[in-house]
Amino acid sequence: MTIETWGGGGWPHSSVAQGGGPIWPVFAFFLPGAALVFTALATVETWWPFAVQRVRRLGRSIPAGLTSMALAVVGDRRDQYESEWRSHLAGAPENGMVLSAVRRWRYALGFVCAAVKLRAREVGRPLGRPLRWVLRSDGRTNAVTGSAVAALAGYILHDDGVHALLTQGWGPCGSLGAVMHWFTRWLRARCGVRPAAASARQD
Amino acid sequence: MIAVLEVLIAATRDAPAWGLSICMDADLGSGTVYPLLDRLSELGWVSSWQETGAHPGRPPRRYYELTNTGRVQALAALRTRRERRLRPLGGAAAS
Repeated sequence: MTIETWGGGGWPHSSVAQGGGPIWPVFAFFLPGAALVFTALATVETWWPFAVQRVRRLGRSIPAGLTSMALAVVGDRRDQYESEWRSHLAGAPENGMVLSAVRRWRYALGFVCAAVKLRAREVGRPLGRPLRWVLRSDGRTNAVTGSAVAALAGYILHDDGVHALLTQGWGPCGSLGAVMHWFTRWLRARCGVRPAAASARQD
Repeated sequence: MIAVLEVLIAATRDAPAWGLSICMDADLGSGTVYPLLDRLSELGWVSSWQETGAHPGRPPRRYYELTNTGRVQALAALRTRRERRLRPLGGAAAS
């Protein structure tokens, strides 16, 4: 009986809810929401300046925080960046040039990127020295390439025998040789290293 | 790199280049400019010094200047690049 009353029209069901459940949840959400919006609009003069102030303060403090983070990443050995990056964010007040919040954010994020790059280069430098030493000479570069190919050939020989090396192994060995050759040339170009013979010829 | 070199070449002793001015003139971000300046300093192309005069309302700046070697190398690099760009594909250098 109760079920029939609820399902058979009347207050709980409206045209909106014809195809589904009752309408009261809509009011339950809408009324407090509307009240909140009304209150916010009615008191806008009170909270708006504070909100603007808060956003401005965040806009100022977050780039400064990012800069501090970048300085922590870059380390103590480059302490000149502290005043340099902070003066960068300060703009040129003597010329009336103050950076907008968006620019400050962009530059501060850039400092973080710069710090990561600088630190990565510093970390990679010990590896770079032997690499450059190898790349500077054609003989050493070819020796490295040849060693890699020989190691692969040795592996195939050990695992599958001479027949497999001669019939199937030449493909992977040749490919590795070609890839190594291309890779060392690319590394030379990337690191700006010229082999000793080529630089002597050019001089 | 080229844009930064051009800005450094254009800078004078009276109006030396500094981080923000290089970023703005070269139209590059600080994440690109500072690692480049560090690399150029390592190569000895660029020297830098901290601002010593009065700087009210802000921390001191670091100014950058091309060294004599750096200026020669930078001008040569720019010239080479210009020639390479002028040269037609597969042909001799344009007169």
